[in-house]
Amino acid sequence: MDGQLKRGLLDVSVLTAIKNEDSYGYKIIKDMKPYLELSESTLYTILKRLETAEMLTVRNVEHEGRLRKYYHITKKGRARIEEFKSDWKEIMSVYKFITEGDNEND
Amino acid sequence: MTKTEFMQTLSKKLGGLPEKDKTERLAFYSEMIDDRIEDGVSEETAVEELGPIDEFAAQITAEMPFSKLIKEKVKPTKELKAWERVLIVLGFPLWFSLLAVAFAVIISLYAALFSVVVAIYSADIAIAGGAIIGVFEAVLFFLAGNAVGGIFFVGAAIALGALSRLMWVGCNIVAKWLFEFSKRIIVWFKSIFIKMEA
Repeated sequence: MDGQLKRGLLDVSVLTAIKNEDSYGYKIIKDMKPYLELSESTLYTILKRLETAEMLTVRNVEHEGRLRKYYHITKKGRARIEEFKSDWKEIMSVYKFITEGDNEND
Repeated sequence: MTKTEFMQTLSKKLGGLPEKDKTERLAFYSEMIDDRIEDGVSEETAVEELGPIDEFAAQITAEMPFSKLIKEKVKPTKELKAWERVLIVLGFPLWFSLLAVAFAVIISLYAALFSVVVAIYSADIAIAGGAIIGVFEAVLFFLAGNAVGGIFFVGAAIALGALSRLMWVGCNIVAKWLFEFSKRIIVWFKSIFIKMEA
């Protein structure tokens, strides 16, 4: 898959993973496992990128004697998800146009 | 490998990264390992699941923008004394030209790889051209009534055409391989900066 495209997909996927409730690193990877394989270093880069873009915030929570980082989605993050969904509705209708011809001419 | 061993090795391999980046990343991976252990996996398996540590460090190096590595190398770890500043300024011709040479080497390597690609594709196109000429020659010979000569050139044209077609496949493979190779060179070059610090 195209690099840029994949990056965009991963970013929005991570945002979705924290959309309904705050989550932490390992849980995000587990939640996405059925759909996408995500490596630790990739996730780290994505989280850092989203944080810089102010699409999520980070806080430390004490858990079993150690600190765990929890990620929380911001309004900007939610807006990004919606933007992605509408972009893709457009892509899907263009895809329909592109592949419609296939059935007729085959 | 135990978690501590993993963290220590990783810390060494990331030696060249900016301090803040390094601590953040190490904390992140440490947390990952702990969470996996909590999930019920053994410490050994948790570390294993993260993958071979060299690949790991290489991935991080590859993702780190080159400019950040340079900035970190250049940033003084403690406040520079006056004589140190003078030394840097005086030494400018030396370290600057060394840096320039390093970049020149990288650029010439790229130029070399690129010209290899151009060369093999040109050879391929030349052979294809030969096939086309063969066809013309064949026509001329046939028109001149020389059947044997004509047949010879038809054969030659077919052979050259086939060769050029096969070569095309080979050229694509070589070009792709050289492209991947050049990417690895960049990662290797970056890793030198990181190793130098460690």
